[in-house]
Parts: sequence; C-alpha cells; structure tokens
Amino acid sequence: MSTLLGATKPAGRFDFRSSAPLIMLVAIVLVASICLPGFRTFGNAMNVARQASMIGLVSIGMGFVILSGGIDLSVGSTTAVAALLAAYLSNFSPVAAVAVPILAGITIGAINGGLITRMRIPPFIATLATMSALRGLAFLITPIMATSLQAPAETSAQPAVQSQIQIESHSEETKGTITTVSDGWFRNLNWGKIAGIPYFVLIFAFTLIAAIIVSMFTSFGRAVYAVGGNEEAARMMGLRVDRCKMIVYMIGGACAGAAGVLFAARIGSVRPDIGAGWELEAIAAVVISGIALTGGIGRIGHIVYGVLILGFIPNIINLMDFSVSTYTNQLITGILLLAAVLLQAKIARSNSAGG
Amino acid sequence: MLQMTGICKSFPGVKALQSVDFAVRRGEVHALMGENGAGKSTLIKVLTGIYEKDAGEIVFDGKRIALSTASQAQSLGIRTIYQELNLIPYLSVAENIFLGREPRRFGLIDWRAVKSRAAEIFENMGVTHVDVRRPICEQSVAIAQMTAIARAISTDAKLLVMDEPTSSLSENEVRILFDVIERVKRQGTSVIFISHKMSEVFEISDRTTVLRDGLLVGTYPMADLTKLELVSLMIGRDATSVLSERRPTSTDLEDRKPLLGARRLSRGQRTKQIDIDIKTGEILGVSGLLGSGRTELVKILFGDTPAEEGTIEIGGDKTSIKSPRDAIRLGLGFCSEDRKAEGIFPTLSVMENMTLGILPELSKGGVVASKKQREIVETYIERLGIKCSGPEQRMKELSGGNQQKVLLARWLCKKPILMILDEPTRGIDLGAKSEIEHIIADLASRGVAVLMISSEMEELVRSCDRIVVLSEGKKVGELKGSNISEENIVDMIAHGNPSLEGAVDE
Amino acid sequence: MSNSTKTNRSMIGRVRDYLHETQFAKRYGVMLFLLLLIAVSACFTPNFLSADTVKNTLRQSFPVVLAALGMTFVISSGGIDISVGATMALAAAVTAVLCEMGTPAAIAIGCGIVAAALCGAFSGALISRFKIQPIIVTLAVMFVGRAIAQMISGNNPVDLPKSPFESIGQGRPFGIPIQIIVIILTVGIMYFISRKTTFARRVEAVGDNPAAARLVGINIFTTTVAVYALCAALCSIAGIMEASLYGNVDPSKLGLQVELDAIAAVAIGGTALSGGRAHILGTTLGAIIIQLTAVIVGMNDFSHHYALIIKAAILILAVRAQRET
Repeated sequence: MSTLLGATKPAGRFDFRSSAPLIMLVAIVLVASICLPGFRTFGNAMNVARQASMIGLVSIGMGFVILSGGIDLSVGSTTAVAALLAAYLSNFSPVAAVAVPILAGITIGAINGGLITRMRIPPFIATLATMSALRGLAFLITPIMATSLQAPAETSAQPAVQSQIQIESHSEETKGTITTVSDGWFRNLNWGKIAGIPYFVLIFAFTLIAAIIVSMFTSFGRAVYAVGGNEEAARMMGLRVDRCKMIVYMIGGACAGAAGVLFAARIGSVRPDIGAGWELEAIAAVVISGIALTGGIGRIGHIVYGVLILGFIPNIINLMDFSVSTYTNQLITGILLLAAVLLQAKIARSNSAGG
Repeated sequence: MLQMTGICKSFPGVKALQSVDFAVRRGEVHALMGENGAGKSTLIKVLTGIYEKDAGEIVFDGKRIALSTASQAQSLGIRTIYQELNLIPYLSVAENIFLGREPRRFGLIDWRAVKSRAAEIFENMGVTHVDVRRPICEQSVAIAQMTAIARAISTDAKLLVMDEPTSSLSENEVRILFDVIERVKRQGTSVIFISHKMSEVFEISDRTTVLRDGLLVGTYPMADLTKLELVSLMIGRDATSVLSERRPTSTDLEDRKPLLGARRLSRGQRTKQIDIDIKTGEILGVSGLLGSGRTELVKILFGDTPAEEGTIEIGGDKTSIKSPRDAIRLGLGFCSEDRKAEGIFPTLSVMENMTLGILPELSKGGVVASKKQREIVETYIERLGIKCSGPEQRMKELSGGNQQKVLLARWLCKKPILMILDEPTRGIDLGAKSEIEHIIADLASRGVAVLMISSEMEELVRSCDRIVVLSEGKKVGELKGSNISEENIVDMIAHGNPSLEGAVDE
Repeated sequence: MSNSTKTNRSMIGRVRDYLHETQFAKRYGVMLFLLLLIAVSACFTPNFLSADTVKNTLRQSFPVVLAALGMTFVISSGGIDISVGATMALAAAVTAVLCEMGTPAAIAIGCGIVAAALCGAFSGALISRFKIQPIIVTLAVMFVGRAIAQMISGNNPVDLPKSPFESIGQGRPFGIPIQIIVIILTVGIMYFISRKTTFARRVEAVGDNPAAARLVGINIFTTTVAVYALCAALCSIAGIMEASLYGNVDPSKLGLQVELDAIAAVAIGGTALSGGRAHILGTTLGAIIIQLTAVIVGMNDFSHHYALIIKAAILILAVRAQRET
C-alpha cells in the first residue's frame, strides 16, 4: 500500500533517507539495552514515552506545517497559554480544561495562518511575532488566573477541590503558578493506564495514527505535500493553497494546545515560562525524521522516530549517571541534528548527480 | 472548436497583439509559430484566462465565452502543458494525475484505484512501461510530460495547449509523444502545438498560424508550405531596420591568431559534439532558432555548466573551465540572456551592479575607492547613454534596455579578451541598439573577440565576421564573408545540414 | 508591479501610491516611528525625556544591538543565524574558564572571540558547502554551542576576575556607560563596512541574486563563511561584556532569546529577510525601538510582559509596511 504513494515511500535510492531515522533509533535502543540494565524495563520505556508524548504532539503539528513549506515558531508559547488555561479550568470543569485549550490553540493557529496568507507576512516573521505576543499574554493572564483561583480557596470548605497559589516575586516581575486540581479525572490523565500503557502514550499514538491517515489518505493531506513540493504548480493545478496553509497552521496550534493540556495534567502546576524552546526541539525532531525543511518530502509517521530519539537521549544520560543532563542532552541533540541533515544532504546530492 | 477573432492586447508601451484571428478545428493539431516577441505566449495567455483581452471575441465549442480567470478556462476544458511542467516532483506519477480529484472509498483516498486508473490512462495513451508509483523527480522529462498530458486528458480536456513540449526530449521520446498526440487527436481533442523545431512541427501539425510582431501573418495547411517558406514567414523583413549596411570585415582576419578552440563539446540533449573556433578581434555570431542550443553552448564555454565531453583551448593551451571564476580568470566575460535571473542585482544600485566585477581593482585594503568607482561609472553612463537618475539609482527601476547597458558596462570594465553576449540587444529600442552595435564593433577593433548570440538575423548579418548556425543542438554550418546573408542562414536552419561549406573570401 | 489605470483615486489611495513609489516606509519609516514613539511616550510617561532614559535604553539594548548588527549582514547574504545567543554564552564561557586557569585576561578574551568566530565560520562553511538551510545549521550549532559552554564551565556560573572585567562591564569612561560607547563605535564601524567595503558589496550581491553573483565571479563560499564568522565575533564581544556586567558567566542564561530580538530588529530596520541591501542604521534603530518599548512599559508601571505583545505588533506592522507590492 505504501508503495503507491510516490515520494512518501519512494522507491530505490531514496529508501535510505526514509529509513535512516528508524535505523538510528533501533541502533540507539539496541546499544542502550545492552549496556544499561535500567533501560530495558517496560517501566522505563513507558516513562520515556510519556514524557516524549508532549513534545511528540507538538512535533506532529510542526510536521504538517513544515511539510507544507512553512514553519511555526509560536508552538512553544501556544503550549504555555494552553497549559495555563488547562490548569486554571481544571479547577472548574475537567471537560473545559481539555476542550478550551485546544480550541485556543486552533484560534492561535488561525491567527498565524491569517498573517501568512492574508497579510503575506513570511511565516518565520509571523510566527516569531506570535510567539512573542503569546508569551507576553501568558505572563499577563497568570496573575489574573491566580487571583481568581484564590477567592474560592478562602470560602470553599471542600478539601477535594483545593487550590493553592504561590506567587513569588522576582524583582520587578511577578511570576505566578497556576495549580491544577489535585485529583479528579483531569489529573488522572497523567497516572492512568490501559493495559499498562499510560494514557499519554495512547493519546500520542492515536494522534500519530490520525496524522498518518490524514497525510496519506485524504485530499487535504496530499494537498499539503503538493503545496510543500511546488507551491506554484499546486496553485496552477487548482488546489486551494491558502486554505491548505490556514488549516495546517490550525493543526499546529491544536497540537500545541493538546500538549499544553497534557503538560498541565502531568506536572500539576504551570508557570507561564514553560514551553520555551519547544518549537526548536520540535523542528529538530521533524528534521531528524527525514522531513525536509523546504517541504513536500518525508513521512509524518516517521516523526515518532525523531521524537523517540530525542526522548531517549536524556533518559540514557540519566541512566548513565552523568551528573548534569541538560547540556549533554542539548549537545547530543545538536550533533544528531547536524549528522541527520548532512546525511540527508549527501543523499540528495548523490541522487541528483547526473541530473 | 475554437475561434478567436480580432484579438487585441496591449501593455504599457507595447502592442502585444493587434487584431489577431486564430482558429482551431476539432481534432486537429495546430502549430502556433513565431519568434520571440511575436505574440504567441500573449495569445495563449489570453486564451487560457491569464490575461484579459482588450478587444476581440472568443468562441469555444460553439459558445461565446468571456475568460477572466484561469480556472474558468480550465473548467471549460482548455488545458495547458507548460514548459516548466507544473507537477509536484516528489509525488508519484499517478498522484500528480489525480491531485485534487483522487478517487475515494469510504471517504478516504483509494490508492488502488489511483494506481489502476492512472495505468489505464497511460494505456489509452499508448504509453507503456511507466511505473505510475514512482515520483516525478525520478522519471525522465518525457514521462513527466506524459503525466502532464495524462492529467489534462483525464479531466476531459477539449483543447490542449502544448508549449515547447519537445525541448528536452530525445528522439525516441519525441516519437512517443507524437504517438500520444495522434491518439488524443483521434479522440476528438484539439491540440495547439508551440515549438521551434521545424521538423517536428512539420511532422505533427495539420495547420499552422504564424504571428510576427503582434500581427497575424496567416494560417496555412502544413502541406502547402516548405520549411523555407515557413521560416521566412516567421522572420519576415524588418522594414524599420536602421542600419542595413554590413560592417566591413577586417581584411586581415585570416591572419589573426586563434584565441579559443573548442572541440566536440557535448552535454545532454542540448549540445551535441559542437566544434567552435574564434580568433582575436573577431566577431562570431551564433544563430539558430530558439531551442537550438545556443545558450547552452556558451554556458559551457563560460563554465556555468561544464561539458560532459569535449575540450577547450585558449591561446593554444588546454584549459579546464569548471566555474565562472575560472572563465573570468582566463579573460572571458559573459552577458546572460536572462537579465532578471542571472544578470542584475535588483535592489542594488547601478554603480554596484556595474562595478561588482572589478571591486578588487577599485579598492585598497578592502575599502572601495568611491571616487574612482564613481568616475568609472559615470564614464560608462555617458559612453553607453545609460538613462538613469544617477549611479545611485536602484537597478530594478531602470528600463530593460538601460539595465542591459549597465550589464554590458560591467563586463567592459573588466577588459576581457573574449566577450560572450547572449541576446545583447533583446528588449532594447533601435537607437540604443545601434549604439551597442558600435560598441561591439569598437571592442573587436581593439582586439577583443566577441561571441554573440542573437535571434535577430539582420543584426548578426550586419555585425559579424563569421556566423555559426546551430539547429537542435548540433552545428549545421558556418558562414563567412560574402556568404553571410539572411537567406543563407535561414536556408541552413531549414535544411539542417551544411549546404554552404566554408568560405568564399573577398 | 501592476499598472492599474488610474481611475478615481481617492486621496488616501494617492498618498499610498506616493509612499509606495518613493519607498518612503523603508527609508524613513523606522526613524519616524522611533520619533513618534518618543513623542507619544513623553506625553504620558513621567520623567521620560531625560538623560537617564536614554542611558538606560541604550545600555540595556547593548547585547541585542550587537547581535542584530551581525545578523544584519547574515540576513543580507540571504541566510539567518539563530545561534547568536549561544555564541555569546560560548565566548563568555571560554573567556571565564581561561581566566580561572590563570590566563591573562587579554588573551582569554582573544580566545573567546576566536572560538566564537570559528563557530560562525563552521556554520557558514556547512551552509555554503553542503547547501543546508541556514536555520537548521545554526539551530544545531546553537544546541551544541550552548552545551559546550555549559560543559566547560561546569555546573555553576563561573566568576570573572574583578580586574579588568569589572571595568569592562561597568566602566563609565567620561561618565558614559561603556556599553553605549561600544555601541556607537560598533555601529560606526559596521556602517562603514556596509557602505564602503568590497566585502559588504559581495555579501549583498550573494543575497540579492546568488546566480548572478556566481556568474560575476564572486566566491560565494568565502563570503558566506566570513559573514557568519563576523556575526559570531560581534556576538562574542557582546557576550563577554554582558558577563562582565554581572561579574560572572552563567551559560544557561547568557544570551537566551537574544536571537529573536535580533531578527526582529533587523526586520524592523528594513533589511529584507530574503537578502539584499543591509540597513545597518535601520537595524540599530530597530533594536533601540524594541528596548525602548520595554523601558516605556516599565516606566509606566505596566507589567513588563506587555512589551512582548507590543514588540510583536511593531514587528508585524514594520514588515507589512516595508513589503514591496
């Protein structure tokens, strides 16, 4: 079935490019399993998967955007806003805590799409601006939310829906934290499992499968590939390029929104500065999984490889007892990214030689 | 099938079409001929809805239509296959055919149907051994073209416009294309065929319409014309030619030292085993219809696209020219025919455009000596009559002709030993044209060799000492001395073989 | 460029056409906007028009200005460099660690700058030689650079010896904060480079039309390497001086998110993201505007975060206004 889909599973020489991320992942997993006993457990795997699910969702959205030839730098800030909303609303209605952030994400995506398709602002600039504005928004709404949550805490007597507010002052800034409700099915999103697999992982898997289906089996999905592959040609062929782009950014926003919901459920308290840098990690995951930044090439499904690779690195480093993990993590991410891109460039060149 | 009457279209300063009539019958292949600027592409763009006509009437399939958008034309059944082949390179053949209209099952794309229907279409076209699953970028240009045609057919096109479909095809592939066109014809679809390859036009078309300078020359059944007549109709006589006298050839041309000798240059389908020689101070013209491989040849000489086969010698020494920097170092200069893509730096100033090549000579320690720079620029502005508000004006604001002059000046500054000019007077008014021709002659008299491509034969006849004629990638002949004339050039092109060898010296 | 027949053009339409034709927005827009901003703020902000405001704004904008200056050339060449913040951290870390090991300050600083320049050269080489997208290469270099900075400095911020770094960071020659002097000097030098040197002409040519640049004989490889190295060197100076201001180097925080402001400054300043003419002065004004909005917001006792939103709006407006057709 996949062989019918042209470059999404290209025949012949391209094969290496699309299987490279899988090979890398398998190699890492094998080596780690052999060398690190702590790695081999199901529990560890699920742990990693659960943590990676958040970035994973963002990466799926980013994958669609990049496939269409664009880029979205605002997903990190979108996640923050969404997480704040989720944490706040969880104290009132778990359903709203899931639905509203995602809707907010879609709206933000629509704003991005509008800036890009209507005002013809280059995606880089447009999403850079949105990123900044949303970050500011996140910081601004936090104290409002915090204050609003404070009032019920003084009057309510029910311990089950207790909220706590911590407001720390940092020189001229006010950083607040919005804490989610401490139990109820919202928080259970984090702890709950089906057949031993955490909800988070299932949510990510479900989204991934949905993304694969959309990208491979719907007109819209193929339109994304077309627009990314050759926007002019796609326009001449009659595809509605602007509408496609708009939807793609809305998907990105929705995914970021969902990631925010998961974050709130997992950590339990949300600060407005979370999600910073997520957009870059998502871009790295997308690029490692073989999707070209210029668009039109690659398979959404492979994003899982990129996400897992980037997810296993801190895990492995932890298990190896390195005292500091953040920078080694970054270092390896950077090196992997370079290696992946160089590899892709070399393959592309050897393919086009003689053209 | 199609009847266009009295079509007029003007752009600021240019009358692209003046009262042109054009008719295509059902199920016929109709060739639209004319040189650059004749109005072919404008006419087609009016037909396909990209431009709106200023006057005239279009009747399609019995109905009067007013075309204002491209999608309107498409929905009526008018489909264009462009030279750039608007296809998505990374998607498969089958997918490109059905993009936007994929067959579905239960709401999702049915890939099996996509594959089988695509294969079916190809079968009906008589094209076999196409793997419809492979991406376009892995296919030959021929298959890509077939895909574009297949897409058009699968949408029940009634009229197919093919713009230079054979420019990158091998002979075998052209054969396949023609078979497909025949089939398509038999199914009642009409084809408008635009090409400069005479032999092909004669083979495949039923009738032809010739345009020249925006006017209709005539419509003729193919059988009534010879190649010679067709080319003459296309070229015509330019009555407003200002200089009709040939430049006197230097008498000592035979004794000049050979400057550059190239043997058996080949590259792909466009350049086939070409030998070329040029002497110091000689003006060598390269003639041939569009698509004959002239630009490709000179780009090989300049190192932009290295030859796959063949050698180049300069001043007797074998050289290897792998990049423009190599060529420049050897003393070559090159003025591209596509100013916009390969010549000008649009947002930079006239001064910068002109002096980018000689910056090292103009500067000390990396700092540009702006006074010296300005002097040089102003000298050339005056010498070439460049109309601009000053050296600081942005290049993109200049008219095409003035831009060309700036580009010429850029290379003149470098004092090359061989100057390659690709269509140096394209888009330039007559006054400026003669100025440029003087400059070229001046260059030659100072010992600079000039290799000049031009689509205007009278220009070549006026200025050149020798003319090399290309046709379909091959050199078909050379004209020297008193043999240089438009008729002879036309003759060589039409007959595709050297009927006039060598020279009769004066 | 469409030549619509001029039928009934309203006054606004005519003004808009005129502005468009003279590239008004591009040439004077930034300056005008800055003046407007100052004028409006002066109306409702207490103590706005004072030497203190000027000093604070300029001093705080220091790292962004330097990074943006380097970024201007990079963007002018048709690329982008999001590793500027990491480069700052790297240079500062190298300097600090060397000082800790006893190297004389001058040499340590030199090494820091060289390390950064090599980093930039590496980016440029990869971009030009392998034709990889600048954003990806510099993204990877960003990760690696900051990681290396953190690795060599260990877990905790590294202290810089009081001399000479205290005067480098907090010095006030002639009563003016040293950062302002460096800004003026650097802007002056970069402006000179951008107007008068062959280097700048080559950079702009490569960004304006790479195909034509190649045909004119410009060495695209060396030009690209040089431009990224220059940007990195500027960032290294910014990084070292910023660290000197605090007295220590914290590689996890130094230069964080500078790249975004730098890019925004360049965009506001009129340099086209796709490459071409470098507007050094515009960039400088852009960086100042960005910092100024933060200062204004602060002085009016609004939460600092409003500045982020205003910055985004300015960015969008600026890019929109400077769009060609």
